[in-house]
Amino acid sequence: MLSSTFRFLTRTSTFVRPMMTTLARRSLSFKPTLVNLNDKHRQSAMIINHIPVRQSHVHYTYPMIESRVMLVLRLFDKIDGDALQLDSKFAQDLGLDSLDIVEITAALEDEFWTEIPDVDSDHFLTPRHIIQYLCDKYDVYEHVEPVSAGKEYMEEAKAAAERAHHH
Amino acid sequence: MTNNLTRSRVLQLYKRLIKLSHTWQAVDHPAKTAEERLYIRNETRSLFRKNKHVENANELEEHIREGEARVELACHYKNPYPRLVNLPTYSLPPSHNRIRYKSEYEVEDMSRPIYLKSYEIKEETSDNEEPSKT
Repeated sequence: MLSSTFRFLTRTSTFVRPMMTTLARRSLSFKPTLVNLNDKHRQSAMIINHIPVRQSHVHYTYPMIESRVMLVLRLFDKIDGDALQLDSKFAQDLGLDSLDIVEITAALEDEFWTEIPDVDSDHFLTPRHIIQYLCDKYDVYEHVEPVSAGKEYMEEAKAAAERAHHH
Repeated sequence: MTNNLTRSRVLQLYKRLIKLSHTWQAVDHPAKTAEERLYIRNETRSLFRKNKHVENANELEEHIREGEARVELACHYKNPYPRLVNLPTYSLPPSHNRIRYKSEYEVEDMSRPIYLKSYEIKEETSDNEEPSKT
């Protein structure tokens, strides 16, 4: 069962891969990576709550996401490009209100080909929050320092064992 | 006091209009696609900001209705510009010396379309001024 799925995946991926490289990166139809191309009746419509898909030939990295987000913000005409920093707050420093945040969110949705619901865009207070949100969405964690769970865990486990031993 | 539900409705409407301005295609005059997109975007920005301080719940509901009506009309007729109206033919232009009965006000209220609500010019009444809202 596992080997047959593996063979299926490799077969479809080799069939799909040349197709995906010829598609322009900003293609209008949002196809999942492994798609059944024999099914001609499948509509390639935009699905609203689509799981964000990493295009197989595009490598999402932190600098790429950061530069795209800063580009989208700079292109917004109500933002002063000189005053824009990673940590500049939208409401206080840049003087934007909630309608502007909605407009920025719409532009980001167009740029990253994903949907950002209102509950998430309410928490966008600085560009850093946006970048962190998109990194979480696209599983980019190169910029995060790894937390070593070993040492602290051992100490906590020892302390818990001591407490249990004494009680 | 705008509760969270109306706030999210307003923001969803705004987002819908912004998305519409990104993907609008002008059918009647294809060369004017960019112009109509800019018109939609500027119109939403200016009208939403103009009515930002509306506090009364009924007024807010009416304004949301106005926005939704304009979106539906624009999408259906492929024309983002609102259709302007005149006064009904059987009414006279407002003259402050004339006594107007309640029925005439009601007829006039009914004859104004909802999608032009933001463009209404309020008559200034010198005797009955409302207290200013904080």
